[in-house]
Amino acid sequence: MTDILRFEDVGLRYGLGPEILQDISFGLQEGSFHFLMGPSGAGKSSLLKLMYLALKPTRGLIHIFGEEISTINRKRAPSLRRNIGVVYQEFRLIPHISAFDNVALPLRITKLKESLIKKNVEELLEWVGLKDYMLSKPPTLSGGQQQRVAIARAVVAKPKILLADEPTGNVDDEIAERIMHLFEELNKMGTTVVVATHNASLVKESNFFSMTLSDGKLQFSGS
Amino acid sequence: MKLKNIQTFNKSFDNDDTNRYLPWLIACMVFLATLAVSAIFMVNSTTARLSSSFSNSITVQIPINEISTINEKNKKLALDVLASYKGIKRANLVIPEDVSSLLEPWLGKYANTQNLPIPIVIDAEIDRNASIDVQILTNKLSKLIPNITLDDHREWLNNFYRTLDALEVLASFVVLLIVLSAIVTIIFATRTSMGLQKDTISILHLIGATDQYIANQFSIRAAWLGIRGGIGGLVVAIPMLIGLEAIIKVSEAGVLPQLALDGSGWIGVILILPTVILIAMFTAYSTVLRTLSSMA
Ligand SMILES: Nc1ncnc2c1ncn2[C@@H]1O[C@H](COP(=O)(O)OP(=O)(O)O)[C@@H](O)[C@H]1O
Ligand SMILES: [Mg+2]
Repeated sequence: MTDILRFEDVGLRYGLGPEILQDISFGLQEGSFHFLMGPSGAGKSSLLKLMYLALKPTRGLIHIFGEEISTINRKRAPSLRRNIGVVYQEFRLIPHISAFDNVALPLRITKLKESLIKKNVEELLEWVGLKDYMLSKPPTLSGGQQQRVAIARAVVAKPKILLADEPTGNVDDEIAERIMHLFEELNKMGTTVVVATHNASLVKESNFFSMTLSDGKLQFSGS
Repeated sequence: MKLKNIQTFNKSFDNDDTNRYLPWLIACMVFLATLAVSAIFMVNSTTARLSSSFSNSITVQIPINEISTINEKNKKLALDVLASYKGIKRANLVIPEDVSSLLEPWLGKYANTQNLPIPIVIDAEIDRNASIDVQILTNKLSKLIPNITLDDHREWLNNFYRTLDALEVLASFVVLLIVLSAIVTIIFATRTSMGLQKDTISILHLIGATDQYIANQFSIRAAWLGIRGGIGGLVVAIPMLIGLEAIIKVSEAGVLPQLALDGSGWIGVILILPTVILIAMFTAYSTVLRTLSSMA
């Protein structure tokens, strides 16, 4: 099976700072489920940014859906990004539109029929327990609620790859479990999932691959 | 794209108030543009009206002589020559009473024009299809009647046309300036707005929105701006034009070029609205595309 995502000797530094990611090489098989571990500041978010094309590596090659990212131009990028759902650590919701509209965005840019959008979005928001908050604007929601909106937005378009950065950081255990369950369901349907977390307890409960970042290097441990 | 989509999408960029003054600015521009465009149409229709009413007549004047038999002879001679001249449809003597009434505004009602040396005036109608050379006709008549003058209004009209042309050029220039300032205004407003919406734009990009999609959002917003500003400007300008027309009609200022719009003039004024909307949309769209690709 081919890798849906592959890093070859990737290094990353911000500006003239130290190389925070060094010699990163790995491949993710389509349909796999990975945890990305490491203490805060280890570079988990940075590694994810490379995966969702928000950053370019300072060295090395990154292949996504079989395309090397330095060859991906402005015109090509949007269609690749539509296949990558991301739960950002800082949520990145649009503050002045409702939770519903935020979640609907990935569908709307594909010009899906509005009736289908409504059905999908409402179902999903209900599922993450935000039925009564669909018309609320993000700043009026709690951190945990915003996180769930962000998760709903990441998965609503059924992406091929789902990247989640500390997706359970702001929610209580029960919601965390639901979210992990949602990711597992998506994974069963074929989505490749990477969950970055510094919370080791989240990993122990599941039996999936995990990779750990420390000192800029990546170590693997299977299950 | 469905209207509902447009409205909800549009909201993604709807939170900045910096552009609140913009509809007013656009309304002022539309108001001025409407006046300038009306001026162009008025000048055009005046020119057309003048050339159709003047270009086919010649006014012949023979200074009065002390000996009345010579006057009668000259009168008859001139009428005969004119009547038989190729290209002249009709030649009529303008009777002295009419001449007097023409002079009345200058001399006053009770001036005794009987004793004034009012010239003999003949009005000749030219066949518009025959290109008649007034100079040859003048030479011919001068040989027979010294001191005769022919006026085909050409010089007078040419001066008038030149003034009208200058007005038209001026008005067109004003329209051009307004269009350019509108474009520059929209470019800067769009850029400002994009600066404020940086986060939203980058989120849309990460989600997989194309530059064209984002440009579309801004262009839809610009369309609303054009609609509001355009209607605002026209709502003030149109009653003003109608009022102006009414005032001119009441005062019956016949010497003035008519300050009224004809059918095509009104169509021109109404077309300002879609023009403004299109300019706003296109400018915003291309500004966003250019700005986004320069940011890459
Ligand atoms: N935009 C940035 N500019 C400069 N340094 C950054 C930036 N983002 C992250 N870093 C640095 O890179 C390192 C890794 O950060 P990050 O990827 O956020 O780690 P994690 O997600 O594991 O907490 C940290 O030392 C952080 O200070
Ligand atoms: Mg992080």
